Amino acid sequence: MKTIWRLLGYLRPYLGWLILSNVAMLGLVVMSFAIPWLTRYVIDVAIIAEQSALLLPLSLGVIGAGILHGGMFFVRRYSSAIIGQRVIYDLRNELYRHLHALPFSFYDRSKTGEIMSRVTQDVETMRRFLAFGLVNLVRSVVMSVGILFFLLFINWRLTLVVLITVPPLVMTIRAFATQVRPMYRRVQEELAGLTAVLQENIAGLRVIRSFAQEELEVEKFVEQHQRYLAHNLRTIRRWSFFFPLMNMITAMGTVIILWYGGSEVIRGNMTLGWLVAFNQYLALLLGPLRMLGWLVNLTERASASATRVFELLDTRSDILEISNPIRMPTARGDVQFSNVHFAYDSGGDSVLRGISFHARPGETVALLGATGSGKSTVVNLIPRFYDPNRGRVLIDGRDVRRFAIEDIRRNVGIVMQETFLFSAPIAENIAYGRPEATMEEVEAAARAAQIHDFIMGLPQGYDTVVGERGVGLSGGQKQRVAIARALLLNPPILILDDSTSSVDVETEHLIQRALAHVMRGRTSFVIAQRLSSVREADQILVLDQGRIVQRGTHRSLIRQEGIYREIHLLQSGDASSISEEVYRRARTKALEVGGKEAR
Amino acid sequence: MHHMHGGHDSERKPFNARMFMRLMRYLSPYRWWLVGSLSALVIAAAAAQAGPYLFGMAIDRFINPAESAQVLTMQERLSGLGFYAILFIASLVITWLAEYGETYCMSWAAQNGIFDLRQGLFRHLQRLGLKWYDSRPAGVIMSRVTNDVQTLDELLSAGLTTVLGDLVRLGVIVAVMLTMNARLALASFITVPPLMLMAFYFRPRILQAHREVRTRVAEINANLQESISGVRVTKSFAREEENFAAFDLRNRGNFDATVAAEFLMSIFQPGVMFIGALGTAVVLWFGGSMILRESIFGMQVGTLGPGTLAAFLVYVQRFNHPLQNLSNFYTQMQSAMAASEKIFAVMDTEPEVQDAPGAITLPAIRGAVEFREVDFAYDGEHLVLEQANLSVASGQTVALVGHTGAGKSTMINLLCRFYDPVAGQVLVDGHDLREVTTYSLRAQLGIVLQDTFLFSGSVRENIAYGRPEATEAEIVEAAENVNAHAFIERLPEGYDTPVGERGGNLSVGERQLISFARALLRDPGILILDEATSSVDAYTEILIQRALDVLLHDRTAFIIAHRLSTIRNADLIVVVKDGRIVQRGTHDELIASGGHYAELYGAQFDAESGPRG
Repeated sequence: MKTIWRLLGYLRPYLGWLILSNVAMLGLVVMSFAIPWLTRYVIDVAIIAEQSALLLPLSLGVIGAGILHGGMFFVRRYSSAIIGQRVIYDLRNELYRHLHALPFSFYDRSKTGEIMSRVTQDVETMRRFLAFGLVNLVRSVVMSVGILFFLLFINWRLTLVVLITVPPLVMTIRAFATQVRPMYRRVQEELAGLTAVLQENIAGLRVIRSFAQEELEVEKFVEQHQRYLAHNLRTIRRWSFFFPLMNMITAMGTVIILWYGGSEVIRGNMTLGWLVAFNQYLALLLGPLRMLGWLVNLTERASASATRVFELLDTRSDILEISNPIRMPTARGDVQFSNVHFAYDSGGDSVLRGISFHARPGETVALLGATGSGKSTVVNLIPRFYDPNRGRVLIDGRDVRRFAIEDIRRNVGIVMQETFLFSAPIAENIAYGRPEATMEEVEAAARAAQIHDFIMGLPQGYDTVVGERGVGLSGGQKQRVAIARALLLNPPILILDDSTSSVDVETEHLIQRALAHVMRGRTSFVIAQRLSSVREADQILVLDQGRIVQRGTHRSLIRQEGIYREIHLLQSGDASSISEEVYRRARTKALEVGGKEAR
Repeated sequence: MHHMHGGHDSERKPFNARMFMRLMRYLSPYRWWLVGSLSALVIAAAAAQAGPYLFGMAIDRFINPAESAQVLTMQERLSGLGFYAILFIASLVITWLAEYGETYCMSWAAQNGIFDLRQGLFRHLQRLGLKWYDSRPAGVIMSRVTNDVQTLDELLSAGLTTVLGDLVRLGVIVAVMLTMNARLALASFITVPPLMLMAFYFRPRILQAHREVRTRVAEINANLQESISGVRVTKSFAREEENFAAFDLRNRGNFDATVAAEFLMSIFQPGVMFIGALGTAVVLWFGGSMILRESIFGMQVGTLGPGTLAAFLVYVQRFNHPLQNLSNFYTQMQSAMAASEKIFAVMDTEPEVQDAPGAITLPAIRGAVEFREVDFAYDGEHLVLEQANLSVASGQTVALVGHTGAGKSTMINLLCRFYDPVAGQVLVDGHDLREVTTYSLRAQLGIVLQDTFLFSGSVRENIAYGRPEATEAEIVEAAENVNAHAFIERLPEGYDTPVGERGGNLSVGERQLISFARALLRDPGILILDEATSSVDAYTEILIQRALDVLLHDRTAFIIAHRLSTIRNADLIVVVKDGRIVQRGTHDELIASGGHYAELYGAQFDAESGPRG
């Protein structure tokens, strides 16, 4: 209930519209009363009492009431739609902004699908509630209560007798809701299951064909398809039993009016006009009543949706800017870690345990280590994607927490492990961090990243749309676009996270060349699995379980006992020359690593 | 920033009788259910119109009998009324049961017919070749089997009966009204033209407006999806403000579209209600005049009981629904026509690779492979492979190297007979692949793809994918041989651990090892391997290399190679460039002879002062 109030709070800016909508609603209810009342008057007074002069004016009165009714209806429906839509517009924008304020740690914890379902489906449910649910809820209550008292006043005996159809009607509606709705959900689930089988069938096409397992796939499909069919038929059978039943119970009210009301007329306790009008009023009473079940359900769902959406809105970022942050247009590029400790969950395993190093402007620092050793974490702390639990990260000698966040990020260019491109032309993707960049600048960045020639070879060149809904690029091409994107910022600090991982030999070569060129004059951090890419670094940091276990240059490290030399040995030998001992160690090490990475 | 391709709502096509009949054929096995449904439909539609008639008759005969009529005692009037009320109840019960029967029988026929259709479509999809799939995004193929079939489902299970029911209903209402009082009936029909006008003017526009809203919502959702997926990039480039502006634009577009659609609805609904009020007014005035024997425009309009007038008040409101439905049906039929056209187009596509008549079963593969002057073009025009000649002896490991797009994958696709060559022959053990059955060929191949695809199911099921009948011992042995057993044992449920969608909960290296086990368990006559480029850490790399040794041992293998060690160990290196085989030989020979290979890999060796692992 509190959630619903909070949701209603969003209506405050539109109070004027809200009042208009409700006034129109009241007018609408009054006009709904008028037409049956006029009907009754025509029958009793103009026809039965033969005051024929009234016939035409009263008939015109019905038309007048119809016009008013229509006008009120328009105002009510249109205004409530505007209110609901405005609120959702506001809410969507608020959510969108909030999503961008949330820290990386939030996205580590949450699945994209879950966030999506909140910002789409839940918001849609709230919209339906605000645009239709709320106003109809009020109308239904006002209408049914009003008509009920009116009918009791006209003929309380008949009213009470007619009301005996209400309990069975409510029971049927409830039974419908409790039995048929879950069955519908189940049908939807089975349909989703069928879609999943199909999706997998298409995605796994080559595997299926190459293993000649088409029949197995057909079996999978048939099984799921039959389940869907069975549930669907079961649901339809139940539905087609209940739905006409509800209609029948509703119509039973008319039978009662005819039978009991008719006998009242015969006995002289009621006029014929009221008998006819009663029947019309009954429809006005039962209509809202039948709708009420749906409305209550919608309200409940909207409340649940609002809870989830507000929960998201109430999640606070832990990466906050101090008031009066230091502005830093261009950093020199001095980066220092001083005894940094870090854990992704507070109280969880420490990922970094006392990391200290100092990168002077223009230096290249290579980070090396097995998966899970903490390399990526180290570089994620530089642009303040996370804050350390203990210790300090300094840029140009100052704690990063003292800078404006925007300034830090504009000074740090990142090429991430998983390259993400937006569904937009390549030019826009490269200019992502600097939308105002000129075409020459974009091309220069692309040239430096060794991707210009490839782009020019595309049919639409720099206007080619890439990303999820565009042309698919290979891993290496995507990475080079991402490198160009980072370069265009011309950042004093450049981070390349595993940037040569998923490319073939020739592409790796291209990227290496691109990088050597662009790292010049910047403080660069390079994370790589392959030694070939880190040999030229000014400093090599070897990480193991969150600690720096070795540091130095390639020349010095290769002479020391330790992980670096071991990896060097592994990577330079070919499979047949690897000793049994190294192989055994690989088996145990790989197990540890794999376990960490996946789970 | 974010570019959208609008939500693809169902297209529409004019009615096509042949297509419709083809669709109807799917219902013919269930025709008796259809007959049942139609009979029930007529009963239901007729019985539902009895109520107002009985109501009116009861008024005129017993509640408010005309003065001229035979005088009845109060008791007679009450029991007469009771009799009519019971008839009324009976009509309601009949309506209920008949509607139940109608819907149920129709759904039975439609659901089963649609089931058969979808089943046929899926089976056909299993036969279509890769070429067909290559030229269409997965989403489009999906929507053939889901959305398009769903559109037909809606037409068959709801649309057709609704429209038939409505036609019957309209007919019965008109007939009853004319029988009760022809003149009043004709006067009441005055509301029909404006109702039709409203229905046929507004309905299509409202549907269009709603389509527009759905498109806008789809845009918002696509933007959100991308914004959330790319949020880390956005944050690291401090680009939030630009994104807000782009989102706000879509949000506003959605607002405008929704309000426009609501505007139409806000006019349409009260408009229809107003016509209802108009109908009431006409019946009251005209009917009232008849009862009072007043003249209208100087004409005598005849006589009437108030009960008939009451019945007319109800009937005149009953035109609305059927007319609305009819106006919807037109659009529905158009969408269904477009859907059928697309579905049948798929079903009418002949698979491009088919077993030739009299194709023989390929005997157990020994492993000799030959490409004889092979030309190939995916589009039938631009050759991507030209005059490829290659002869591989049984048991050899062949490494295919060259730039992306040089034609390596094409050679492998031809060997698997995913495609047929444009000219020339591909032979296995001397058999032209076009002369053997596809099944007997592929059943003997083992293929490991670069992007490891695992199916949802357990680890065990995935390893046994190519040989579902394999025993537990065989599965474990295969896993052990490729170094996968140890980590599988450590998974929460061992071999029964469910593998998520595309193997998401396993690491890249683990997935590769499982796909090795899958290929090994099949013990293929020829192994085809598209080596993964994604790097794994040094230790896992060693395990993969060892597994490879096991996999390659003693069988013909074609490898699109990326690891230098794999290339170096190959018996034969084939260098492909621009669709031609430019060099072949061993590593040492090729380095010695210079040329493309030495260019590609020599540079690599120099740079690294030794081969990479």
